[in-house]
Amino acid sequence: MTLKKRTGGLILATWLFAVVAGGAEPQRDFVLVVNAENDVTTISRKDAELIFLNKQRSWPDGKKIGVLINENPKIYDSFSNTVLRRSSQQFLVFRKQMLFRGQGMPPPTLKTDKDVVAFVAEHVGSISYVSPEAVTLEVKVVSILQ
Amino acid sequence: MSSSFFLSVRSQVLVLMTLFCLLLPASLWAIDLAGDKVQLHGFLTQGYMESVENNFLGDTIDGTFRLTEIGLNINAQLTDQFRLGGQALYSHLPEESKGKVRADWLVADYHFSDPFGVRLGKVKMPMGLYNMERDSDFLRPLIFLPQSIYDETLRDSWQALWGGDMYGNLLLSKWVDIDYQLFGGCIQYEDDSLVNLAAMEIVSRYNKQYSLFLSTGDLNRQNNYAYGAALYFNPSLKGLRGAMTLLVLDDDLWLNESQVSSLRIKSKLVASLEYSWKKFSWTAEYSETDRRQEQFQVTTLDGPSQAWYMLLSYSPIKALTFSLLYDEYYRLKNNHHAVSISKNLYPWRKDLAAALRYDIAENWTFKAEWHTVDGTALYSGYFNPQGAERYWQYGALKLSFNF
Repeated sequence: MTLKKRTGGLILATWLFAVVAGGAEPQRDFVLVVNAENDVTTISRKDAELIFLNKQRSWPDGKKIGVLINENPKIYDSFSNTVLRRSSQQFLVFRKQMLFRGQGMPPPTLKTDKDVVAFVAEHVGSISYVSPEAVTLEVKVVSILQ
Repeated sequence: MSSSFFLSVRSQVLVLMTLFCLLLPASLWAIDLAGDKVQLHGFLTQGYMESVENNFLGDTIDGTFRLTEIGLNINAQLTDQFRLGGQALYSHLPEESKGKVRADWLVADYHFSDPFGVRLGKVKMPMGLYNMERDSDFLRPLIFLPQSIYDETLRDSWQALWGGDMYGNLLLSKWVDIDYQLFGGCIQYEDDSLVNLAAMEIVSRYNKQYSLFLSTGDLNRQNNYAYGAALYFNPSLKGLRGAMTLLVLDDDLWLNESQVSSLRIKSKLVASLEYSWKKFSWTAEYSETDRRQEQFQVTTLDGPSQAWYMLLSYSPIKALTFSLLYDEYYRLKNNHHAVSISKNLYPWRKDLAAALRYDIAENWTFKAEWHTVDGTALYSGYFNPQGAERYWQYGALKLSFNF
């Protein structure tokens, strides 16, 4: 086998590994949570981005999605960078743009995981994110697929 | 009533609103009036500006505090699909002797599905990346956006139109989605809008040139139609976004029921690209405006203008951003140095600016910037009837609060 072929094989194997591994959920310092009655178990990163940017407003069963922003500083930046592909500062500006351009109402915000879990547990259709250790049986964790 | 009375009322309103904002606990800054179904938000900005050699947007050589904006909006989500909302805006800008209140936007919004919604009323007009947030200082990187594309003299007219738009989001693949907007309607020119005041100056010039006695009191600028489209590209590559916007419009200027002038914007195209990487961000926009203008049955302008800018920003910490801007505008793309009918010898505008933005808190923003300009295009002659200098400068400071 020539060096060229071996290099080509290595690149292909790396790419295949990346594609396969890309589908799995890496370790994160937050998890997506929905109301326990929600049938959804996985969600793609792109869909999660569109939901939190108010561009996708219904679950597959037609129910309205209720977004809740968790401003807990331990996970806010990480969530924004990983799922929304923008800094938390840019996410804040995005929400204000929507409001002051007359294009929509920003979603409600809470500052602690405990409050967020309580809110999601009470509201069917709601979605948010919390630290993994804050999850209780009242809410359901949804896996993020890349 | 005397102007001092208006001034005192205005000052009292400003002081009361500032106190109101300061006294509100952070959790109440967005006021929910009926759960999260009805929300009240607003903003307040106060600035100072000064220019050297030439006036810009009014009498600015001696400095002015006429840089005030107060906005208050209310939104009511009546059903999952239907929303009503509106924003009242008070603004006091350098060219105005006193401030005014107007409807900034006023919409009935029906969201049929994610790819399709309709808004009717007074809707914001997309043009480039920033036209829709012209009145909200804290949403844009600079106090004065690049003038080549965001001409400040048109700000009070070209930021919204009465009519409607269709909007939505299209998910093309897992790598990219597109936001689109198609809009149409009419622009309303206020009697004291800057373009109307500039039209009066043109009539006065003709009076002087041809010994006429035309009255400027009955001048009426009318928009026959305006329409356009905007596409915003959102790829999965972190920090990247692009946009293409198009605007077409047709204006007539009437004097005592006779048409004295017309302006047809055949196309105003803006292409935009923005990329953020770590602590840096880079924005560039390019625009051409193909237009034809007639004044007193003489074609005074026929062809495209050319505009572009580049903005580089660096944020050493989250709350602080330093920016450098280079901005160019040519009245005629194909002849950069052609002298206009108003005998402007420098019909271009090249602006080099340095700016600072400091987000003091989530709801407070302070900005400062200084611009050095070569050229006198874009109404410099109107603000400087004694003659505008080719090289001039201007700067501004601004503090904004929003809730």
